[in-house]
Amino acid sequence: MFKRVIFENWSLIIAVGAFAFTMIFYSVMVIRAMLLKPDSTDHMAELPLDKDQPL
Amino acid sequence: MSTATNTNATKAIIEYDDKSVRQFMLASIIWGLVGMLVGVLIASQMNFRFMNFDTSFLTFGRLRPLHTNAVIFAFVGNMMFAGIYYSTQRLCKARMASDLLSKIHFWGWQFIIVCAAVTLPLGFTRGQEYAELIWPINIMVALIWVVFAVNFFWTLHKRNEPSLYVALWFYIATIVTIAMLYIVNHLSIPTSFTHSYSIWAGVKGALIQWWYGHNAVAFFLTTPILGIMYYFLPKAVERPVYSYRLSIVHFWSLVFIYIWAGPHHLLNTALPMWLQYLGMFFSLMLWAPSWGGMLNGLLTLRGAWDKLRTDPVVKFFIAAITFYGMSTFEGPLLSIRAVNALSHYSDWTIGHVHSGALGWNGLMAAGLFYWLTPRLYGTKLRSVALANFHFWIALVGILFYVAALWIAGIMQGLMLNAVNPEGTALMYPNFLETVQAIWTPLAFRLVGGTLYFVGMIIMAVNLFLTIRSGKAVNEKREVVLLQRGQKDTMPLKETFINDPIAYMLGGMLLVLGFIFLPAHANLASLVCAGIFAVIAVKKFRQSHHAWSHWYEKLLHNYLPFTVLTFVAVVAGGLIQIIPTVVVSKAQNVEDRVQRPYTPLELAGRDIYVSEGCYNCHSQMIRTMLPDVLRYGDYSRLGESIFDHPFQWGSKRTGPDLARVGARRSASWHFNHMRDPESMSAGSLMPRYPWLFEEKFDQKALPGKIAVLAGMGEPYPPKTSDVIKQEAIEQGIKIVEELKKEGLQTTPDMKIVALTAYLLQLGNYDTPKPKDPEANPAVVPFPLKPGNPDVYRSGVKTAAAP
Repeated sequence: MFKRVIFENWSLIIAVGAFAFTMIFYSVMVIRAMLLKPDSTDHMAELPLDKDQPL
Repeated sequence: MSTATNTNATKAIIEYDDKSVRQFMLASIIWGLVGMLVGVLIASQMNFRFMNFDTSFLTFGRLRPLHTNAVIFAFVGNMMFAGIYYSTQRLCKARMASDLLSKIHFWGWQFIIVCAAVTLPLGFTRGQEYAELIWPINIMVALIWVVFAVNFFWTLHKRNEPSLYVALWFYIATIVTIAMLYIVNHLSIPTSFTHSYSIWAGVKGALIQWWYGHNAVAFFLTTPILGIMYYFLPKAVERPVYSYRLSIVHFWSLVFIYIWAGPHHLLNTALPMWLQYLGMFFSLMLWAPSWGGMLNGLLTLRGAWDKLRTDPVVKFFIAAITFYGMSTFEGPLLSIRAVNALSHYSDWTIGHVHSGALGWNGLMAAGLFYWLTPRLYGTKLRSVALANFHFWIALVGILFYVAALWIAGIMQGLMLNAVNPEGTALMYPNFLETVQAIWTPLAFRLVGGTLYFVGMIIMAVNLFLTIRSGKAVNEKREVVLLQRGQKDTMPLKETFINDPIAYMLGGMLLVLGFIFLPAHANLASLVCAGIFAVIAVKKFRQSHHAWSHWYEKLLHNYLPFTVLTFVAVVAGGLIQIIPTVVVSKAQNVEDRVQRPYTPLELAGRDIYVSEGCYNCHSQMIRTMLPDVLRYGDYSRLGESIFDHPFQWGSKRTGPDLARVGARRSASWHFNHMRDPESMSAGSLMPRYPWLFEEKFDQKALPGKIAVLAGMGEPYPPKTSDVIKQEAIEQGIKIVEELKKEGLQTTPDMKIVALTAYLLQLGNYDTPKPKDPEANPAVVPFPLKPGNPDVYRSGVKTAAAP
């Protein structure tokens, strides 16, 4: 199979495979992000604001 | 100072290290002015040749690397460090871990910049874009980056906030990825204190260079600035980011996809087609995360759009984010092979880069500095009106700049690619005709760049007056100190030995088996992968909470998070680089193999690299009809297989030189280098009078050839005396040829060596196939990469009637 890497038609298979691989990764990350608890995301989103005043 | 409270929580007052932030900010402003001044100068050289001043250290080829390095590493680099130092301390509720490391980082980085500013105009370069700095400076960069990394991760370790905000994720990705890219692309073998040869040659060098070059844009100019956006934009508009969930998706998808897109810089070239397709596909996929991030930034302003009218900081931030969206829309567009055929090597690419650099990086930097300065000096901004004026002059400047280069790039691209209806002749065969056609848009570019530079001066004056009206202050905060067990509770064993990781790795191994195993075994592997996936889904349904818990813990543990980020970025690089390094060797290439250089040609090539000729001339005839009609037969992968570094180029301000050897005589090159306009009326190329006065370095030649031979290039063993003698003998032949035309010089002059190099461009050997009888239907096992032509010709034979 490895020799097919050097054939031009293999290029499409690699690209499609890489696309599928990336879509799986992307989907997993989207699902993980969506499943995060609201209080957790709210806490994270508020971190830069740090309501306390400097001393 | 620390105190214990009733709830056993220990509180302490900490003073942030804002001195380092101030230092990096001021350094960024100063170097930004220098870098942009050089940018305006070299832009003027595109319209007025006399702006090169016939002086070696002021020519375009030497100053353009100074401009790009100054803007990327000095201006944006220092701005990035200022933003990271400020936000990391606040997000971690901890002072930077080590004041000493902060000092070493700051002064070390400035020393590197000074070294670059001295060496680049002197012609000391590695000859690769954004990777020009010579090897001693490369080592300093690597060491200082490690200092920065240690200081950053040590601060994370000491933090008093268990959660890792998304800005810190972007900083982590920046640190680990830049370290990887920089080290791999700069691997070189020195031949002297100021010179080295990259270990990567030809197509390998090209792939790795643009894996680095593209991802320098991604991980030096984008991810840290996105981290800054996610921290400072909510601060400026006083509301949280629009969607934290979207920021998570933005981070992972951007980090994972960006690293694959480098080959889009090499479309239609001799780069193997599968890499070109990968580069194009992944570039197109970048549209989604980039626009997700842009929208997340813009929508953070929900309910506070009125600030856009009154607050210059918000104006700069929002315009910058809009430019981020525009340039990340344009980038994938330019990565489509058909579009790239028009845009590549043209000013369109330069315009695209500057919409990112001036629009995204420059405006973010301005917004950041206007926000930071009053806080770091305990005062108010001296003049909001001046800041507003800066905004508008910068915006108009960028629009002039980018629109002018769209027009110039598209016009020149169309002219260069225009052929008659029969496809047998070029419509504009004279390259200079296309150069003269874009003179006016290039002049508008100069105006746009100058306006932007004036805006920078206005900002510097405004901030200087602001600083004078205040006094440096370090912010102090009372924080609750986290105890052991309240953060980073995920042991390494739990990080890597668990169901999600086991199923992911197992699945990947089975997929790899499908790719690499021989017939039947590969199908078995594929079936196993399917079964494995079903089992994984069932397991996930049973242990859903455990899997979720693992992921959420990951977001509170910096070390496992860093390792997984590294795995995400390393995957794309390995899949592209390993097959290329393994297969793309001289013994495997197709019908043409480069002829190793003679000693004199090698000396000439080093002069070519030193003068930065690659900044304006490519050595890659693309697989396109107009390129072939204009420059000759398209370039084969093997024709540059021994080039350390490769010189395919990325811009054609002048014509391609891949086959110039057969087209021009020694006397033509001699006269052309002395006064280009005497041979090419209307040429923008500078004169090179010093090449006629300086001698090439004969003494260095034996060492250089030994280094190349040591890297496996086919240079036969010769003594030092023979090498020097061969160089002079070839020089004498060229001098005698020149004499016939009435031209005088001596064989040891730089111009003679450069002429020798230019005369051989386009020469190659034609190796005989090693085993023409090989049967491609039989797959050897264990598998060994073979000559692609053998397989290809075999397939044709088998299919023939």
